[in-house]
Amino acid sequence: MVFNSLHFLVFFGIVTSSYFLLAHRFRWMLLLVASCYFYMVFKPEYILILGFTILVDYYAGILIEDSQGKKRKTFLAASLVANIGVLAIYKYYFFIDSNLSAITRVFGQELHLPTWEIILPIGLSFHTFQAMSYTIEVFRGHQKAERHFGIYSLYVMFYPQLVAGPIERPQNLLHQFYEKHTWDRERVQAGLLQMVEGLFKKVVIADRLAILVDATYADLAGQSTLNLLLASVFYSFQIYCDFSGYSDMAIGAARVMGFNLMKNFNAPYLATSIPDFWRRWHISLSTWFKDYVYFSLGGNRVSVPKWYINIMIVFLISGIWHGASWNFVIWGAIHGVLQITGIQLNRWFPALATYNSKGIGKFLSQLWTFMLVTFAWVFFRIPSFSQIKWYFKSLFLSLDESFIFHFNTMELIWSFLLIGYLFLMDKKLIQKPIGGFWVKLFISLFVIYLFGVFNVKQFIYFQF
Amino acid sequence: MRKIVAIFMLIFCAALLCIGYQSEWMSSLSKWMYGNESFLGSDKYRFGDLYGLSYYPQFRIKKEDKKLASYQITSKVNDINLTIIGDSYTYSFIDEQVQNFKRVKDLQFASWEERNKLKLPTPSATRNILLIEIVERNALTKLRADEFVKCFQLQKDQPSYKEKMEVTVENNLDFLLFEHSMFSKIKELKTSILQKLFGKIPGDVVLSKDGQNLYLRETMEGDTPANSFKVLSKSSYKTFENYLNKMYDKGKALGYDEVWLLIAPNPVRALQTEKKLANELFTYLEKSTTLRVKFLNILPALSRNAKSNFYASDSHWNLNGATIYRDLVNQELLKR
Repeated sequence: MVFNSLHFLVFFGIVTSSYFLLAHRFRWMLLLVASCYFYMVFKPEYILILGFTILVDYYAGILIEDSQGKKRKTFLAASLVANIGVLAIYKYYFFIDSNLSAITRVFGQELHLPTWEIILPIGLSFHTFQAMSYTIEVFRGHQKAERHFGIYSLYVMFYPQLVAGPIERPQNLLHQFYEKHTWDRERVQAGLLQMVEGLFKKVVIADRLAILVDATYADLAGQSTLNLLLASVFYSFQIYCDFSGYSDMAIGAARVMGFNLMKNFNAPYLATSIPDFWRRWHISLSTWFKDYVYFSLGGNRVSVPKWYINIMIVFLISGIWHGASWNFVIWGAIHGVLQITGIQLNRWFPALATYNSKGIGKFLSQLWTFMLVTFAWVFFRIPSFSQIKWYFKSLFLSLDESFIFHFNTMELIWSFLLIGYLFLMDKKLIQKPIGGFWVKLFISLFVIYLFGVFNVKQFIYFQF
Repeated sequence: MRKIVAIFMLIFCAALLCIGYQSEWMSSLSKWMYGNESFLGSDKYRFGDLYGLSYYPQFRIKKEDKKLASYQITSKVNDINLTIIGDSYTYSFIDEQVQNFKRVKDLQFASWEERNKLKLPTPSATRNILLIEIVERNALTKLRADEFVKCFQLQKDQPSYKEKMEVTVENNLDFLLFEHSMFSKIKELKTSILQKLFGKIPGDVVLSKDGQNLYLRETMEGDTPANSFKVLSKSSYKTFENYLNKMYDKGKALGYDEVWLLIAPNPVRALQTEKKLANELFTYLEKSTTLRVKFLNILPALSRNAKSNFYASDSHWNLNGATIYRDLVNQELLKR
């Protein structure tokens, strides 16, 4: 079920009220059963895959902790292979197959993997990464192996962050399942308001912008330059509000029950550089790659060329994590190149960092960064190279065409007003509606009801 | 106090979820709500299905909730068995009684979803006629599918598990929580605000150019065959005709002596409020010399004084329109 559905609302009501009615020692069972139900609503049989990875990593963690020397590496490798293997089969099978056939065709004999009907289990990329962070942290000695199978399962399956993050670390989340969370009115109210804020971002901003974006991208060849530019900018905000909205709802839902999940977004479009953008966007994933891939490759404690290679490797993997398609790899590569370029420019011109930190310099660098990120999002949004070709062709060759609004003027103005409101919220220049909790809640819900788009559109990051 | 609230919320939400999963309970509950005029009842169809989709306050016009009266005098000669596979354009307006149709000895209705329950004709002296009635917005999709041709003894279409879980439960919960008439005023407020601000009605509903009718958006816009104004190529018409001929052959193979087709036009086509030309679907079917199915063209009769034949806030024809439908069928039956 998606967070912006009545099914989730009713489910949340049942789980949260049961949580506070139950004695502490039974709460983990409730959350585990609820998380299983939450996952099985999508496709029940895929809980077996989740079960498999949970079993492997549970035992791997214990065996790593109880072993010495090379055996520890062996058990870690087994855990990583199992998780990456599951990802490879369920997410990358067709991608591997199509590329294998393309390569072998060049040599005169087209090879294919066995035909198999697979549907990507929802949240696979997220919970496998969360599980891998557990075994890695146990291996590194930063986390004690969890001996309670139910608690470990709950760590992987905890429903607020199961299908689209934030990708948690065991040091942050595991111990919270042992802590007794009592009713705290302020905390519950803050959690509910955060959920409502996330819902606002999703159904009022993201899904409304999606109307123009989808209409434009459905027919790229017939679009004018202005339409394409507008759709590209709107897509930047659509994906931000869609994903950060989901994260807010996840974090808020957990917060109601007393769990603190990590922040996943920090006003990314106020970033002054690409490295700054990646410190603000999908923080749980970027820190995962930093801690487990980038540092493992040596980070920046190597020669400069190797350092840049490390950066490219991380961004290429990040690209492929997002989707089994070359356009995502290109998107990752673009960010890698931009990251490296930014770093090198700062090495050549150290004064740039000072210029970008305040006043007009800061504004210009924020604008420039936003434009670069929006350019990269084009490759994220358009799935095929032929369509990308049409995009750029129409972008540069339709300058004198009249533009057709898929929105009327008022809807366009309203969309810009929403984006402006988002900026003010991100810069914390605007307070949420005044008044007590109930006033804030009802005003927010009323605005969502009035202006939201309610056709239960899935969250963009669910496809990853 | 907190515990009492938590227990109440738990019981309330659990009850909602249980009822939401039970199609039989939902069916009984929805029947009660549609018939109930209190604040707990539902306005969804009482003022027209298009009002129920949009809650456009100007179209809160009470619909007649009755069917056509049967004929008093039955035919002297009853030598036809009539089978009608149809939709709400038939069964919402006409009772399954032989008195409604001239010369009919045996009458059976089946909706599209229940066509596998039909009693097939047995060899006899009585003439067996199969009438397919379908609304225009569904005609080119449902009648194109090969599944129709194979379908008479097939099991009912089963929604996939995913569809059932995501769509049915969600729709049921929406119905249970928000389909009560006490919320109608808030919904009307939303529609009014959005209409004033953006000039658009929420939901899949569009206001006619003259502001006097509501239409389903898909019957006026978009690239689907449901759109009366979608330009259809010659090959599209021919493909459709081929499917209808397959349907005819199937009907004959099942024992029917004749297969008739009646397409209820989208109201926007009959009412002609949009000042643009609809496609030539009806003309093509009427004039085709290779179409084996008997096409009953109801469009000319419905288009005369069209506004008196359709509801302003509903996608269906009204009792006048249904009378025209029944009269047309009877006209043909009397010719046999």
